[in-house]
Amino acid sequence: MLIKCIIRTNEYHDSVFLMGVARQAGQIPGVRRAALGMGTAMNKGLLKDMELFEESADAASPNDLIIALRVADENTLAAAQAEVERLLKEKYAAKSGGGGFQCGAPAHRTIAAACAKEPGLNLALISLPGEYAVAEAAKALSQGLNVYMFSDDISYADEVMLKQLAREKNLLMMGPGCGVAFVQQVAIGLASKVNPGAIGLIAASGSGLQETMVQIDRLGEGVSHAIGTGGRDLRDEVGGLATLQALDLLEADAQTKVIVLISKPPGAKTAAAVLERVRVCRKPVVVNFIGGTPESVTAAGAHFAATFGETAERAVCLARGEAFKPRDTDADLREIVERETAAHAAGQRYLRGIFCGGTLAEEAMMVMRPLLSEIHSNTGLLPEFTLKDVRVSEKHTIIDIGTEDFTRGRPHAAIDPAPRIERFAAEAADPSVAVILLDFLLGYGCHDDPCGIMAGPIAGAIANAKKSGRRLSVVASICGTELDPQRASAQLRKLLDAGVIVMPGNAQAAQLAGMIAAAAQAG
Amino acid sequence: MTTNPTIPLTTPVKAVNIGAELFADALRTQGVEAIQLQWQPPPAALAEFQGSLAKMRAGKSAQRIAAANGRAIAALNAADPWWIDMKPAIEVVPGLKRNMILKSGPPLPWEKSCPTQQNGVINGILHEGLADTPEAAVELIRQGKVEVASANDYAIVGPGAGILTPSMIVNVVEDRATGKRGFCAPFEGPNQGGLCGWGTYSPEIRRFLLELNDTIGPLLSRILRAEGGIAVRQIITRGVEMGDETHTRQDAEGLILINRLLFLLMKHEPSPSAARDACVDFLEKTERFFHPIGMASAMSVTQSLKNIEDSTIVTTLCGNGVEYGIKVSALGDQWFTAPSPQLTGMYLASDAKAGDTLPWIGDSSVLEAVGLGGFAAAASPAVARLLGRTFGDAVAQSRELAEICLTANRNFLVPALDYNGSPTGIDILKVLETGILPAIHGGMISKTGLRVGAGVARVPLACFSGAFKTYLNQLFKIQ
Repeated sequence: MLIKCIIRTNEYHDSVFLMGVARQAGQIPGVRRAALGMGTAMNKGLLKDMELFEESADAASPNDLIIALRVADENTLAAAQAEVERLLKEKYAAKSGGGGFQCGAPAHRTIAAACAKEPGLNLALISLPGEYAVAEAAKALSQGLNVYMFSDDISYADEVMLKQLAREKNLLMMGPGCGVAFVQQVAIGLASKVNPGAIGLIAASGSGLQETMVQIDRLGEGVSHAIGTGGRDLRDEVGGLATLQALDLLEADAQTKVIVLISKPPGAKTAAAVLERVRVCRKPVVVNFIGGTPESVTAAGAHFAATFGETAERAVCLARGEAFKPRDTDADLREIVERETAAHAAGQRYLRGIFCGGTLAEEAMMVMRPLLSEIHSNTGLLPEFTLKDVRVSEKHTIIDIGTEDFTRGRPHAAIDPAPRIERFAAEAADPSVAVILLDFLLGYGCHDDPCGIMAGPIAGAIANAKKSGRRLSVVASICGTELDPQRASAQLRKLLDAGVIVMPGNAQAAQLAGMIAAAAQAG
Repeated sequence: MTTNPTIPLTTPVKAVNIGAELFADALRTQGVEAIQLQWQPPPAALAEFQGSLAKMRAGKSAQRIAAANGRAIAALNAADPWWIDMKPAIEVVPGLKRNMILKSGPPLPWEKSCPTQQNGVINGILHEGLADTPEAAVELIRQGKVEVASANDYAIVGPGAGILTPSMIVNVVEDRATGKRGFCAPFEGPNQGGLCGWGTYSPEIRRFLLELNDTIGPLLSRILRAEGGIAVRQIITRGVEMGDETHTRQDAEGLILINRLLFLLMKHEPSPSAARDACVDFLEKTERFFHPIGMASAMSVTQSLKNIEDSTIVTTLCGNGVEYGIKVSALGDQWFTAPSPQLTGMYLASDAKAGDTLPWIGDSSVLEAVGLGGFAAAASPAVARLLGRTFGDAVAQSRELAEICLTANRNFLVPALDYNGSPTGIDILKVLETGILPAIHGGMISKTGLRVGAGVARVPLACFSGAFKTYLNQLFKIQ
């Protein structure tokens, strides 16, 4: 065994670099231990501690480098010394790639860090699993951010907590379970873009809000703000916290002349509270409690609407100061019904609707109820006709393909068309089916070509049916505008080319499809 | 009932997206700025706290906590530590007793202490002349005639084994913004592995300690008092700009201070004298002379972070080679401990192994409590290489740790962070929300008490979860 201290005079290296060289030197065969250090008193002491000290090191000054080696023999020593000197020369060789100042620079992991580094943040979009979404929303609100929350699996208690916090801080808490919002002319979530205008909307229904906005756009009017509240806001467990706050905001908002309120039927206590607030509202309010009745709404001095199309029409009339006149479109539809039913084969009797928008599915059922006696579905709107197996249709069936049964582990149906394409193929192949009803949701965040991707399967199914001597009627509406990235007119062309009967709104499409099914059943 | 009647979402809309990026893209296509958060779920071990944390963020408590932490932030930014004196500990440290030996880290029963620290305490008793033999020293401890206490509880920083005896000289640093003081013994010249440092003792060490008491200490004390002290904050400010993170590396700070001291020695001791020679010799041989002063400065600053009602800031971080402990402002002097973490890094000797080193021992991570060391990693390219990492990694470490900090310390501007302040003020709530653990830079010490390398460790999560549970129980009865 040989201990050797090699002195290199007047050669400075910093200790960290030297530790790296020592580590590499220690891997040279025959080297038992290696250490490098400047010749300071401290380092000499350390070499003694490590049993690497040799007399010659005493002479080293703090400006001299000591290379201390414990090796098997002289040959190893020479090899090790050469290797160490080579390593010392390599000092300036640059490490390639990976490094640099910008490594990991702009990524923020927490909302607080993002707020600190990004001045002007005013909105947090949250689509995490519910267990995490609550905490992040609380953090966002406490940082003064408005929140749009797509996540929906959170408790009522947490929803109330977040909405109360938002109200205290005068922030928007849109959601949980908010699909669509349109605030400051920005489409948030899976929303369509519309022109600015005088109508402000508050909705506890994503597709209901979307359809109403699209119909307002179709009628040539525009939207000031559309505030989504999440589907449960008017349940008594939540008490309409976000809706009441939004009513205050839109009543005070200078751009808003007419307010539209959309929700599934509210809880009794909440309905009373919200309608009382509507009653004292200084601006006209159009109310669509999906499937609700007009009495309490008109008693509150508000305007009742049964469909989203009617909601839009009434709001537009109010904004323009015109009187609302219900339109009878059934006459136009009858002609189409006759044409379609004439081509149906004997066994073709049933309607199947496959919806991406849950509220649109419910609206379709409400519209068709007077026409068809039994409408099965997975929406829960008609509990007596809830499907036993959501994957198997019975007679007339309306499927909301956006429910958890179909979307588990995948994005929403408005983003991922695959589950609906699959279901459509099954329904189209069923010889008892006369008419299939579809909705197409456009907008930012939605699939970039929802009609195009369905056009092929639809055209194919119609052709196959024809080969089997059947006429497959496909009726649809497009929920989108010319301002959407998919452009409603371009999407319409694709459906028409595929042989789809396209109606200007969901309610009309449902009306037509219901009439076709009713006629098919009768015939 | 009316609220502030303006739409709270103002233009221009600027969003942060947490979750599926398509929501951010939907805004970007409209020309609206949207930042994607690199969100990660909190570790499974933290799942149980997320509900309470969310309630705390949402409830009335949020404002109280923010206000309390605001006071802590103000104290950090206003801190103005001055090195004002060198004196025997018993003369300047409040509460110290003649029969007391101090050591690093949270308190630990004698039997559970690591041998390095046990040896150090015994050596301390011998040094004080309280016993003649190690056996007699142990007997004094068992009988309670000598009290072994945590240096940290007396505002003293004990690096390594942290052994300090009442007669030993300490650097006295005072935060002039508050009048609060921190203490740390000077490194013992060339024998840095000595009594204070790592628990070894020898005739040379004894001789040097006595020289500090008799010669060096009194002269430097006289100079410091004549000068009205030396401001430390400016030295660290400059050092951080010059490549120091002030824990593992304080080369620039040391040069600035020693340069100043040499001029002051010539000014106040113009004629050659034995005392001046001893001082000069001491300064020449004590490479890391600044380090204890930097640590005492940090300790003086953390004193004003303590006992702020509701504040969730960490005031102390230290280990004893067995356990690592933290204190939290609102929880006063309660310790929250977990098994001490091992360091990873580089060894002086080629054949050193992880198993040879002690888990974290020492109070030096008080520097991390004020935004230095691991938090200022971006200041020091050289220290980055300790881990065999790139400078980019060091910058990333500082940026990551910013996520658990309450502020950026305006006293320590880091060039590589575009002259943003070093992330400062560890918030236990943020640690538990993110699972990001404070990184602490430090020396690696062998089980026999020798310095064998340098590296980095992460403070154990259990320290923070323990503190949070107590915080909830004591201060917030959340239903």
